[in-house]
Amino acid sequence: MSWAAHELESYFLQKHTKIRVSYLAILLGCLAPDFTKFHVYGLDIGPIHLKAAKHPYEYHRGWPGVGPTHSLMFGVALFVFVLLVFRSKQWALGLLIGQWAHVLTDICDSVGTMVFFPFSTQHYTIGMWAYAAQQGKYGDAAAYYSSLGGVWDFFWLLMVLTGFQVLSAGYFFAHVVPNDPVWGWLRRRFHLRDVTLLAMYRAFFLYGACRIIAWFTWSRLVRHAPLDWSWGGPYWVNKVVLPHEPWATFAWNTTRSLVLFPLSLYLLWVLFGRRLWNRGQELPALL
Amino acid sequence: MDDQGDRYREGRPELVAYVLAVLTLIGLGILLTTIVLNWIVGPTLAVVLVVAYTSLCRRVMGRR
Repeated sequence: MSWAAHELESYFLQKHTKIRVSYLAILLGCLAPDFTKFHVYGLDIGPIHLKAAKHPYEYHRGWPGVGPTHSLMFGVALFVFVLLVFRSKQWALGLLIGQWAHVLTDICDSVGTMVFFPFSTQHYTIGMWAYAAQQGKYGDAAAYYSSLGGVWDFFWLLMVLTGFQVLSAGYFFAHVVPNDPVWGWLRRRFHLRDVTLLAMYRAFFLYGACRIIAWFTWSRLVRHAPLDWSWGGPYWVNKVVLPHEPWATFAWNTTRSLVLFPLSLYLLWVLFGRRLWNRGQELPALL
Repeated sequence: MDDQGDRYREGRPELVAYVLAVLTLIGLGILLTTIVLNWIVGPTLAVVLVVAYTSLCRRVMGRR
């Protein structure tokens, strides 16, 4: 799984999406598939004790499990739900774009995602780094930031920094705020000043960047985990690799999905998507 | 829209505030790891640090 990449790609997507779309929705979409992640490592907060899943990869990426949150169809479901309930085009599109980005980003680890669920439970992966959630939060962090996973996070940090205008006050007030009435609501409801609104917009960039540097440094100086930037590394972790499907099965699953997924999108659009879209609103900024 | 873009200008105090916030977050992150480096505490702390440091830096550097 990717770590800080999910926070950082939201800024990149916001900058390169040429249609009116909510930044907050893109961010939420980028994070949404991992909202069920607490069961991957377990949770201990005061009286709350939640045991970690016995096989985190099955729970987090598989079926049965919450693996469907890492499929393109889950993004479509979010899109339809938001259009149906809130009628906001900017939020529906933002969630769709962010969630799809998450699904495609996570194919980089050794478990990958069920991109075309429910048409197939085939996992798509390029095996760039080891999936090691079963090692617990600290073991996973050490493995991730000792492998190409960490490099992947640094790559996204660089992508945002090369388009640093997206983080400027001018960009925020001229492009981000007008596309989303939530900023105006936050300002009025909580009497927020410009400095606070801007800090909130940049928060996930700061957090993402600091998270990369902190975990990378911790892995080197505290954990003393050896770096391994070979494909599929690090060599020293017991990574999860799914059994290889025969090529014929893979080809059949993929072909079937490539036909059924667009067909289902078309049918959804014709049956009620278009009607929902047309009655949706491009809500004005209230700032 | 351009008026909105021009209404908030950032100078040296804001830059120093962000640098201090980044250094604090990295330091706390290395020391406290998951207590700070999670989706709730991390971004919230980033906002709190930036706002507090900005206010402090503006006062110290003589800008309101």
